[in-house]
Amino acid sequence: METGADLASRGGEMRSLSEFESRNILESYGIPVVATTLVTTQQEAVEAAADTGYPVVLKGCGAGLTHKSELGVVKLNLTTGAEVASAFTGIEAAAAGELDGILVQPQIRGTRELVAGMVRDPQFGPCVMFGLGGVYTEVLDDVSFRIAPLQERDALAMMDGIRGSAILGPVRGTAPADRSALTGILVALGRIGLEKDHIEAIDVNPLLLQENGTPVAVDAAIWTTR
Amino acid sequence: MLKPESIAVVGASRDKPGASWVDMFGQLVEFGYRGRLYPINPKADVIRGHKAYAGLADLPEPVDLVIIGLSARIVPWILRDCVATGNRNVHIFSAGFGETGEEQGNALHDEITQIAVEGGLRVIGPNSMGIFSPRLRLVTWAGAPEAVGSVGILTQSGGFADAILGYGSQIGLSFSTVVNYGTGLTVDASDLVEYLSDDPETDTIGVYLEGVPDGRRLFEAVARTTPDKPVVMVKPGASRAARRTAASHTGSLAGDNRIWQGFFAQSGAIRVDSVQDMAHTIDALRRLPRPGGHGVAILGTGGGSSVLAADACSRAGLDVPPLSAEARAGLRETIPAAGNIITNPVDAHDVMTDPAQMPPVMEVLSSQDYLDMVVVYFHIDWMYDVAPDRIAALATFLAESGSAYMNGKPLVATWRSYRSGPEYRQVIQEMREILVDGGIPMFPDIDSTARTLARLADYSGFVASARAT
Repeated sequence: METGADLASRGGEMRSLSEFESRNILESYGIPVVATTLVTTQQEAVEAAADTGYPVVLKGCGAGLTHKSELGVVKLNLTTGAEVASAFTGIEAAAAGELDGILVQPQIRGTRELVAGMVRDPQFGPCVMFGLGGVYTEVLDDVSFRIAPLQERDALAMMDGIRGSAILGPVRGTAPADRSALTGILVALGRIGLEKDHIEAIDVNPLLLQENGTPVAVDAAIWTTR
Repeated sequence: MLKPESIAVVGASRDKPGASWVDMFGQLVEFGYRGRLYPINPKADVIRGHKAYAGLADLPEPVDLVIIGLSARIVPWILRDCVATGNRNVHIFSAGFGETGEEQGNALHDEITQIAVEGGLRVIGPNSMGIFSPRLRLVTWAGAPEAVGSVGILTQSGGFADAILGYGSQIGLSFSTVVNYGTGLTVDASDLVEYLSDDPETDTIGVYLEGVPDGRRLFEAVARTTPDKPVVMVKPGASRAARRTAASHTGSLAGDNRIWQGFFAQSGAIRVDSVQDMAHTIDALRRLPRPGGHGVAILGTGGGSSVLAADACSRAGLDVPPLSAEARAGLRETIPAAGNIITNPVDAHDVMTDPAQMPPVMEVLSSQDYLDMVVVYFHIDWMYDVAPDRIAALATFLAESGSAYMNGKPLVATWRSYRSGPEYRQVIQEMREILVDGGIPMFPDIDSTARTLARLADYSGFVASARAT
C-alpha cells in the first residue's frame, strides 16, 4: 500500500516533518497524541523520564528520521534513570548527527495497532485513511478511504468497512474501541487536509488502542510541500 | 446542448445511391430528427433532401449543436470556425487525439483543448458517439431503440452505450438521454451528472466511467443527486490490467480503487460491474418499492438449489433469516408437509405449480417484519414436466396480482433451466414477456438476483440515513 513515506520518496519537493513537529500539529487539532518531552541532554532526559513516570520510551527526533525502528533510534520499556541515560547515548550514536533532539514518552500499553492518515489524491484531493496498523498495514493492506470532509457516519462506516473490524470489538478481555474518539480523529485528519494545503500526507502509525479502548497516537509523520 | 433544436453536421457524406453504409447525417435523417438539420459539405448542393452548406459561416443561424465527423487533423480548423461563427456546442466524433498516447495525437489534443477553452466551446468527445435522445429522434448511430423513457445514461465508452441500450431494451428499460462523451474535452462526467440530475425527464442515472479529471467535483455532483435520484455506476479499474487498458482507451487516469470504494460508500452511488448488472439494478430501482432491510425470503422448489440460493444471497450481503414458528404454522395451512420443506428458502412444489395457493403463502411471508423482500424462483425444467402451462400461469399470477399480497415489499422473480430443447426457450421467453409487461423485475439467475437486491437494500439504507442527517 502507498503510505505517506512512498509519496514523500516520489515527490522531489516533499519535506518530512520531525515526529515532534508532526505530533504538535495533530495535537492542535484535538487528536490524542502520547505525552512527549523534547530533550537535548542526558540530564534533561533522566529528569523528563522521572516526571513522565516509568516505564518510558526514548526516540531520536529529526526530519530525516522516518524509519526510526530500523535505524535503532527507538528504545522501549526503560525502567530506571540509568537505562534512560544509556539509551540516550545509544540513540545519539545511531542517529549520526540527524538529531534535533530526543523524545521522552510514557510506554503505552496496548496490543491493538491501528493506522490512520491523510493523503492528497490527484483526483479527489484530501482523503482520510483508516485500517490495521503496525506491521499489518504492509502485510494485510486492510485499510479504507473516504473523501474529506468526513461526516460522523462516514467515519463509523470506515471502521465497519475493514476486514479486520472485529479488532475494534472486545478482543481477549480488552474493552471495545472508543468509536467516538476514533471518529473524532478521522474527522480531524480530514479537516487538516482541507485547511492546510501544504500538508501532502499524514501517517499516524501506530494509532494504539489501549486496554480501556481509548486510542492514542504513539508515532506520527507529516510530509509537506514547504 | 443535449436538447438541440438545430444541428449542423460538418462532413456529411454526399448522396451515394446504393451505398450500404449510413453516416451520422444519414442516421439523423433516417431516425427522423425533429429539429432543423444542416449538412455541411462544400461539394454538395443537397444531401438526403436537405440543402447543403459550404461552411458554418454560410448557415442561416447559429445552431445548438455542431457535429464533426472529419479526420482528426482537420478538427482544429473546424473548431476555430465554430468559435468564429458563435457555434459554441460541439460534438467531435473523430478519434486520433490524446487517447492514442502518440506524439501527433497528443499534440492535436493540446491544440483542440486550447481552442475550445479559449473560445469557450462546450465539447463532447473526441472519440465519441455523442447524444441519443429518443424524444428528439436524435441519434448518430445505428440500431438505437425508439421507445422514450426516463433512464439517463452517460458513458465514456461508445460500446457501453450500445450495449446498455440493447440489453436494457430487452428487459423493458427505455431512455431519456444517452451521452457517449469519450475523452470529455470540456464537457465531462461531472457536467453531465449535473445535467441529468436536474433533468425532469430522467429519474434514474447510469454511468460508465473510466476516470475523471476532477474527482471531487464528480463526487459533489453525485452526492447531491443520490438522495433523490439513484446513480448506478460502472467504474472499472480494480485490476492493474483494467487500469492500463483504460489509459489507452479514453486516456483516463483510473485512480486508486480503494479511494473509489470510499467514493461509492460516501456518495451513495451504486457500484455495478457489468452491462447486465447495471440494467437489472436500474430496473429494480425503478419498479420496486424500497426495502426496509436486507432480509429476503426465497420461494421455490428443490433442496439443493435452495441451499445454493441461500448461499448466493448471503454472499451478496443479504440475510436469509429462518422463519418464525408463527410463520411456519401459517404456511402449513396451505403447504402440506409431505415433499415440502417449510423453512427459508421455502421448498414448496404444490404452490409453484398452483397459483391459487400463492396468495396466502405470499401474505404470510410479506407480513413478517424480518423479511423485507420475496424472490420467486422458477424451476423451469421441473415445472414444464408437471405441465407446460404452469410456467405462464405462475408468471401471469405474479404479473397481475402478485404485488397485492406483498404489504408494499419488493417482489421479484428468477429462474433456472438446464435443458436444451427449443420448447424450454419458448416458455422462458413467454414467462419473461409476461413478467416484464406486468412490471415484475426478472433476473437471469439467482446470483444476479441476490446482487441486485443487496444493492437495492444498501441504497435504501443510504437514502434513509442521508435523509435522517
